[in-house]
Amino acid sequence: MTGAWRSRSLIAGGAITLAMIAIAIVSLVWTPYSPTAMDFLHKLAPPSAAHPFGTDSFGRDVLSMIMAGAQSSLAVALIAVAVGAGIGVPLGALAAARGGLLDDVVMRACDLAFAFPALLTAVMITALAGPGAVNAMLAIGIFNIPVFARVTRGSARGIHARDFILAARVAGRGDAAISLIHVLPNIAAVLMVQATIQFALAIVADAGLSYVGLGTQPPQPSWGRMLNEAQTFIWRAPLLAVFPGLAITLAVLGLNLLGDGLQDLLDPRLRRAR
Amino acid sequence: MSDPPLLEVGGLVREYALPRPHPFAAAPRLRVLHGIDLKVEAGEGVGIVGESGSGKSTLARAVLALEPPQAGSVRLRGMDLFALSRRELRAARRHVQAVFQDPYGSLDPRQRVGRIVAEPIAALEPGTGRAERRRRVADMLRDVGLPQAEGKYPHEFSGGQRQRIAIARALVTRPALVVADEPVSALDVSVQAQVLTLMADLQARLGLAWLFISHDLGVVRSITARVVVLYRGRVVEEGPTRAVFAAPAHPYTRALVAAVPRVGRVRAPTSLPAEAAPPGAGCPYSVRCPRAAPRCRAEAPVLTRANGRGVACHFPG
Repeated sequence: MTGAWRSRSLIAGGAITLAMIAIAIVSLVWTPYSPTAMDFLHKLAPPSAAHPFGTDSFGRDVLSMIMAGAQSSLAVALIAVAVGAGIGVPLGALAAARGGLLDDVVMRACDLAFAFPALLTAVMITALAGPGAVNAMLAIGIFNIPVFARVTRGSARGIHARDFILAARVAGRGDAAISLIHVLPNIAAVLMVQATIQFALAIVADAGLSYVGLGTQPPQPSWGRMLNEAQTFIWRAPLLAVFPGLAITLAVLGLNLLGDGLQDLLDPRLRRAR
Repeated sequence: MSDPPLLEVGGLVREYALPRPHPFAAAPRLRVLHGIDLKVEAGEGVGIVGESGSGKSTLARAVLALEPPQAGSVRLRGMDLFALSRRELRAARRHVQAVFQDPYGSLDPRQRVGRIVAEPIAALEPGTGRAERRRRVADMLRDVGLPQAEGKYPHEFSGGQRQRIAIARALVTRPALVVADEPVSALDVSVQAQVLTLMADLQARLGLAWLFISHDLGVVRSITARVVVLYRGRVVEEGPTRAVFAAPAHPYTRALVAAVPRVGRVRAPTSLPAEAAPPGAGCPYSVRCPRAAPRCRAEAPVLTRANGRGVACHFPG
């Protein structure tokens, strides 16, 4: 693939992601209609000038719901990635710095966590802990921990093999200081790319959880639940399922393009090949 | 009783665990250093030479207190580095610093030179004020011939310049001993000379001692007063650098000296065949030694010292 294409993916991905963030922020203060206001006279209306994306079975404006749905999707994904990175990165850095038994234990625990299908277990966790946005964030976040731990540990070990780590030890730095001062800045690029990918996966996972009713609870709109509700009316109002589906697809596509573009931008080897 | 020497290594044994052959077997151990004794006096330049695998770098790591030995001690001014508390060790580290081989790997690519050189001060002398730290870093960079380099990143410098930065970092806490593990072997020959001159100059000016590890005898000859020859983790010969290289007493040293290429000289075939079986009780060099006698295969020679020189050979000279 050529460099021009790569930087285009960065620009397109960045634009889509920024647009999504902007929509979520705008929806906090303004949506065309209230996303929860029902209007039974105009239920299941097709797209029109008044309702560009139509209305759902309760007569709520779909555009407003999509906009407000971006809020919960972003919030859940953001917190989930933060939980995963916040615990996984220190764990991986510690495993790489100490090595030995601790490294083995942490990595085998990650293997164990990977053996469970993430989404199914997230469903189980929310089913046990009770549905809701907070539990969805935690359930998705828990499955981000081993991902971040493993990526951090792998890249950190490469850094630990270099002489400037020895020099830092000779200069009297301990494991924690070395990880913070020398290792993390050198693997930040890899972690950022991973965070973008995990963000996309978290949006899908959140949509999945709210589709089965375990994520964000009504009346707060969410893309997953909109899909679920649209299912009943798939023959009468097929477009009702298309818009939330498109929103999810676009968000994930944007984040993946962004991650892809970032990876090439931050990886000096690929940049040189340009 | 006079002052203890600056560095005294006694009976140092270092073993590495090898991968287990199966999960329930004890991990086999590879002995890399077989009881090394070594002394460095203040202000002295001591060279450690030997081929790859002789344990030179392992010795460096032990002297730097990076890896604890299985037996023996490393004493700095009489303090056993591996018996110190964490805080005491940190205090001791001010007196021992290091320069590493690879000038591209030994500087953090994400840090500016000013921060790299200041790291030992920041970590080992936490009470130092910002202005003083900056001044000392600037002075040090000027001493190594790179004034005003603080704001730049390592990739903006050549290999020789980077090694100067590494030297500046090693000397910024004014250590008494600097361990240099192959500090010039990654550099061009012309640059090697510059860096060696700088190191000799700094040694004379600051009165510091170098423990200079190298496989390059020419480099060792130019900068050290005393040399220690390692073979398979044992000291086989030691003495004043000039005398040892002029008249090597151990057959291994002789082979090393003869292996230095010189233009116009027809070289006698001094092939060093790869070691066959690991030696049992005998001299470890006996498998390769052209003069090995039955006694060499039966009994390991001990290092005997006389007139400032030492050699571990049954038939020296």
